Formats: sequence, C-alpha cells, structure tokens
Amino acid sequence: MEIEVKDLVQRFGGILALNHVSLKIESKQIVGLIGPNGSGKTTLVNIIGSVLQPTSGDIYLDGKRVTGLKPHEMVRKGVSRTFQVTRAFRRMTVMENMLVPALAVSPGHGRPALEKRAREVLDFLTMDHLRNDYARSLSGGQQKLLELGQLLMTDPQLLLLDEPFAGVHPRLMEKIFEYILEIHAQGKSFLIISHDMDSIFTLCQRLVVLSYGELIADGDPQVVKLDEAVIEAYLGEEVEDA
Amino acid sequence: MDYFLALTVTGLVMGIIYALMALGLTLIFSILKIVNFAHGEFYMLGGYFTYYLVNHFTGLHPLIAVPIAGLGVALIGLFFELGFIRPIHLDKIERPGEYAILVTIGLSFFLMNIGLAIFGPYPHRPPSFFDAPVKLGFISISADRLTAGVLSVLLLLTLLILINKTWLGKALRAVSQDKQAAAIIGINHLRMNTLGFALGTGLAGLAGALLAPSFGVTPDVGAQPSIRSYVIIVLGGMGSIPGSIIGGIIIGLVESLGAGYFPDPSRGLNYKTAFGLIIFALVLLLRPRGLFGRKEL
Amino acid sequence: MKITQHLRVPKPWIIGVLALCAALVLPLFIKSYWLHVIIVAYLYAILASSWSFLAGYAGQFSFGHMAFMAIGAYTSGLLGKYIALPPLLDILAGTLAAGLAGFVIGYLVLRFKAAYLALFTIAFSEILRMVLKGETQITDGDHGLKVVKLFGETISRLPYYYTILAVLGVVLVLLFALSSSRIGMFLRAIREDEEAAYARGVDIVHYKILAFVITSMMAGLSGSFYAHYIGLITPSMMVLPQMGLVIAMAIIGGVENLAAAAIGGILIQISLEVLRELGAWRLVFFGALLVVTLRFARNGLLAPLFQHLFAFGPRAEGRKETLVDGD
Repeated sequence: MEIEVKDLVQRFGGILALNHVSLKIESKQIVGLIGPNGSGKTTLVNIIGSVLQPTSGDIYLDGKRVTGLKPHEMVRKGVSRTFQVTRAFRRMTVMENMLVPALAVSPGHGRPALEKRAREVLDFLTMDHLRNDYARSLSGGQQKLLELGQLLMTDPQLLLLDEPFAGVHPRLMEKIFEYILEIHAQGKSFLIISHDMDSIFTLCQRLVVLSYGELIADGDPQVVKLDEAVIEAYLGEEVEDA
Repeated sequence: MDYFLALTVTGLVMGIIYALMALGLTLIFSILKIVNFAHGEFYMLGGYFTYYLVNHFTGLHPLIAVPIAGLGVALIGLFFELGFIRPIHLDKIERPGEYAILVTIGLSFFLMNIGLAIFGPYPHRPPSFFDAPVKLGFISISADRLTAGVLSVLLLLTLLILINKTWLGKALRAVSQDKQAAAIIGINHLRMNTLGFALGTGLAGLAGALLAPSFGVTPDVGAQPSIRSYVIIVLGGMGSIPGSIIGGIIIGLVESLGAGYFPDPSRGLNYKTAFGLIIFALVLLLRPRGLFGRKEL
Repeated sequence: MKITQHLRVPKPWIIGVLALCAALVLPLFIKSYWLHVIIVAYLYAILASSWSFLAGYAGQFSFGHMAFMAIGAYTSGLLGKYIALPPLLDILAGTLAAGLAGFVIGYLVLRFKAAYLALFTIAFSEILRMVLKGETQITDGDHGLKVVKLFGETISRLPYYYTILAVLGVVLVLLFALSSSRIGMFLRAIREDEEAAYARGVDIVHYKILAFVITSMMAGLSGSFYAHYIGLITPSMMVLPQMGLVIAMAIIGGVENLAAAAIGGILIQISLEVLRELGAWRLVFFGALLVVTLRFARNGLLAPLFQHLFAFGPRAEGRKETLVDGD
C-alpha cells in the first residue's frame, strides 16, 4: 500500500503548523519522523490518520484521493495511529480493548474468531496473561504494548507511532524494537515520531525531518544526519546522540 | 411608541437583574470550570430567605433582608462546595466532568424539594420594598422592580470593582486562568474555588431576594431563571463577565419585547423564556463560544 | 446451587426467570391500588434503565429523556384526538415519533461536550414543555389531553399490568442484548474516550445516534403506554424535576448496571408510595440520597450489591482488578 500526502498546509488560527508538506510512504518502509518541538510532527500524523482535516492539500491511498475521510474510515483503509500519551480504554479489560478495534473494522467476523486472534496478538506481545485485567491497572509500558496490539487488530498497512519509546525502560524498548521489526517483516510500513535518536537510527531506513512546519530533509538517516539544514534546525536543542 | 418604550424599560431593568444572576454562574464556571445546574435553586433560596426573615423578624424592612438572604445563600453554597465539589479538585472523583453535572443536578432536585417540603407549593411573597408605582414620564414601572434594578446595577459595579481592583479579585482571576500558576505564586486555589462558588451562588440568591417581592416565591421559581442564566452565559460566552452583562440585557430585552409583541398576548407570556431558548439553541449550534467566549475571567 | 450446575444455565438468568415468575403472580396478592403503583413503577424502570443505557454506557448525559416520553405520549394522544386511530397504532406512532426526535437531537448534539449536551437537552425539554403547555387549543395544555384507554371500558388494571410487564421485559432483554454485543462495547469505548474510539475504527457518529434513537424510542413507548393507561396527560409529566427523579433512580440503582437502574426505579417508586405521608420530604430524602450516592458510591447502591450476590451482568464495569507489576 502506498500513501501519499501532497502539499499539506495546516493553519490553526494564525499559526502555520504545516507549510506545503509532501511525503510518500510505500509498503515495507520504516520511516522516522523527527524535528524540534512544535515542528508539526503530530499535526502531520493527525492529518494522515484523518483525525484532522488539512486546511489545504490532499492524501492519496494507492493513487486514490482519500482526503476528508472520517478517522474510523481511515482505520478501515489500513492506517492506524497511536497517541503520544497512551489512550487505551482504561475501564475496559485488555481483551475488550483488543476487541473494539477488531470488531470495528471487521463487522462480519464472529467474536470467538476475533478473540482467538486477539489472544494470538497478545501472546506475541507476551501480554496474554493480562487479558482480563483492566487497562488502567497496566503499567505505562504495558499500555504502550496494548496500544500496539490494538493497532495490529485493525490489520493495518501503515502504522503511525507517536513517541512509542517515550518513558519506556530499556528492556521493554528492546521488545518494542523486536515487534516493530517482526511486523515490518510481514510487509507493513511504519511512520515513527520520536525524539530518541538512538532508536530512530537503529530502526529506520528513512528519515524525514520537519522544522517549523516545513519538510527540510527526507532520505537515508546517515545522510540526513549530516545535512546542514537539519543541524541548524536542532541548534539550541539538546540532541541526545547525534 | 409608549408601549415600545415601556417594554424596553422593563426589559432593561429585568435584563440587569438577569445579568447579576448570570454573572454568578459565569464566575462559577470560570473559576471552578463547572456549570452549576442548581443555580436557579439558589435563586429560589434567596427568595425564601427574604420571605422568612421579614416574616420572622417583624419590623425588618425587606431591603435589609436582601443582603442577609444573599449571605445566607452564599453560606449554603460554601458548604456544598466544601463537601461535594472540592473533592473534584482533590482528585478524589472519577470522571469529574460527569460528576460535576450530576451532583449539581442532584443538588437542584434536593433544594427544590426542600423548598416544597418547608414552604409548600403555594406562592409566598415578601412585602414590597416600596409600595408605589413609579412614573418616569409616561412609563410606569413598579417600585419594587426599579429598586431591584438599581440595586443590581450597584451590585454589579461593586463586583466589577472587586474583581478588577482588589487583590481578592485578582486572585480569583488568576485561578480562573491557570490554577497551577496561581498555586505557584501562593494562591490557594481550593479556597478561591470555595469563594468563587459562594460568591456565584450568593449572586443568584441576591437576584432571588430582589425579585421575590415582585414575583413571589414557589419551589420551582428557580427553574426559569436557571435556564435563562444558561442562555445568557452561552450567549455571552461561558466565563466572560462582559458577556454575561451584555447577554443579560439582551435576553431581558428579547423576553420583554418578544412577549409584548407576540400576536397572542396571553400565550406570549408563556413563551417568554422560549425566545431566549431559541437564541440559545442557535448559538450552541452556530457559534458555541458566544459573543465573548473565553474560559478565563 | 446444584440445579444450575445440572442445567448449566448461568446464574443471572435464573434470577431473571424467578423475578419474572414473581411478577406474573404478583397481582394475585395485591390490591388494585398497589397494582397501579407497580404499573407506574415499571414505567419508571423503563425510563431509568433506558436512560442509564444512554448515559452509563454511551456516556450521553442527556436531560431530554422525559421530553421523548412526552413526545410519545402526546403523539399518541393527539393522533387519537384528531384521527381516532386504534390505540395500538397510536402507541406505535408515538414510539416512532420519539425515535425520530431522538435521531434529530442525537445528531445535533454530536459534537457537544458533556455540559453543553446537558444544557442543550434541558433547553429542548423546556421548549417542548412550553409549547405543549401554551398551545392549549391543540393540546389542552394544563387541563390535560384526554386519551382513549388501551383496554377501553375495562376497569381492571390487570391487562395494563401484564402489558407493561411485557414491555419492561422486552426493553430489558433488548438493552441487555445490546450491552453485551459489540454495540455495547463500542458505546463503552466511546464513553471512555471518544477520540480514541474514533481512532480505533469505531464509527462514533453512527453509534451515538443509535443509542439516542433506541433509548428515545423506549422513552416514547413508555410515554404512549402511560397516555393510554392514565387517560389524561399534561405537560407536567416532563417538568425537569421528573427528569431529576429518573436520574436519581438510575444513579442510586447504578447507572452502569441496567438491571440495577431498573430495579432502582421500581424500588424508589414503591418507596415514594409507601412514604406518602411524608409528603415532599420523601423527595428531599431521595435528593439527598442521590447526592451522597454520587459522592461516595459512584457505582450506585444496588449495583455493587448485585455484583456481590449474583455476579449480575451486563455492566459497564464489573470485575475486581488485579494489579500487575510492570513488565
């Protein structure tokens, strides 16, 4: 599946959050999205996920224009996103959290079949033993995994991860890497927002950089790292491990 | 033309009183970030207090009863806030948004039935402030309403001075804008909440006390003023002081002129609040932030 | 319970069947006056449980429920007055009219946050009440609109009792089925976090409106039935304190537990009758109970009891949590 955004402009009142951003993501790509705070990364992800409608510009899925879809329709088309601060359904069980997206995108399937699949995914994430617990009793890291599990239940082609490593301890982070790579091996694409340069450079084959709403670099991470414009954008910012 | 002027004057006078009550609601929204669904019942309490005070203490002039009633109502508001609203801000309540709505609705139900239980369903009317119609040129208006209007103006001015010029007012504004920042500079936001709620409900009580001689008090007397207050703060913009004042005056005029020019005068009175409600629905659907909508004072 | 083990029927259903049996034979043991009280109690049970579905499951704290009830009642009544349809068709029409109103309101409030939703539905309710009260030519306002009784000249309340019992049964079964279905899960997700639900593929517009339509139809149905039972309807059926009473029933029972809300309604209505001498103080008591329940027993008073005794489902939130240490 190929997703393309063309010429996206996003205005919030007087603020120009995105300034003519164009980007194409094909199958089986892990793309990192970085940029200083406020550069428009989450806005871009919100637009790709159709949670936000762009002021102008278009989104194309496999060549077809899909601008203006409702968020849930975008999910059904294969694009799902996580939130910067995890938003699992706190007073529902882990299993129910998994079933909601599954049932939402597969109206025809029976519940037992979907429950079975949910257990498989939970197993993959080594969380099956928690399936009857309330989401709110999970640790922060587990909730991140749960969100990933929810995404997987929507059978996505493109997974948009917003700060998946934030506040996650190293051991769990390794696991998340594993999961991402395994899912990628199955042909899915990722667009990952992160401030964690280590992780980005480890995982991503391609790096996209936003600064003040403009796309200033797009390409091989090692090349982008040395790009003058990128370095300048980060001037004054603490870069963890350039 | 006379008719029009008479209606306009009535509308303005009532509008100012409505504004006073709506201002109370706006203050509560602004400082505590909740809508007080029992606002009308505090209005009712103000009326009942006035009636009770004048009845119980013979020789007490109704005008003196008004501020005492207002204070009494504010005290009730204060205690309710301490017991049932403060926990929200102490993080003791799950799903606080829902809770705030339900608990004030519950309070409304409770207070109205207390009024019914203690005073019965029939109207009670405290004696007039001044027992004469007043003539302003060719317009006549009851002295009670005029007094209520004038006092409302005075109260509004006092309140504006309080909010803008005193330390307390500034503290209230600080909490309404950013309670964490306010806390950092030493303002106890919990106390400001309590004060804000007491002040807001006190204003409703004062409005009720002021209008009790004109309209009498029944247990459900607060229902329409309640709705009217919602209309006004949505029209003016939730949390906006100028909004509630201007909104109040607009609604006062709309009600007066609407009822006055309604093709069938007897039904016109019944639909008085409906005019405001239609404006209300339209505002919510078309421009939810109202005229001056912001969240802070 | 050996019997249940043999039959492999889950416990709640046994309770339900027993309750149904009790309800079926109840008229043999009580006087006609109390039969009336129970009939009205069943009506409140329908209102409280349907409201609790809309509020406790879908998270839509609407105050227009009594307005939908009134739409049902007055549609029935007015059709009877002007067209003289058979009562059953009236009731159908009333139910559908309420459903249509529910659709419109549900659509209008889609983007409203909780407080605005509450205010808007209060406004809707009040406007309707004013119109019903004001247009006396059509509705007979406060004098009351006369409505043909469902069972004509029959004096006995028995047919009404069994009819409303059947309606209550259908409503509860329907609500239970919905809440344990995927619709119920979607609604709970919407209540938990609407945006997240949207982002997980749930068509929140569709389901929110669905919740409104279904519950408003139930309210309308109870209103229509009420009209054809009492024979005289006035706008005072939908004054805000009535809505407050229904809310109290649902909350005191347990707003996230449909059975508790229904039974809360029945019990409170019966209590109100039993405590008749206390006059308005009865309502003061329940008002206080409502506020205190909200503050200290958020899940209601009956719901936790049911959970404890019967593991009575379905509910929006139920089991104990196991606190699991981080991975």
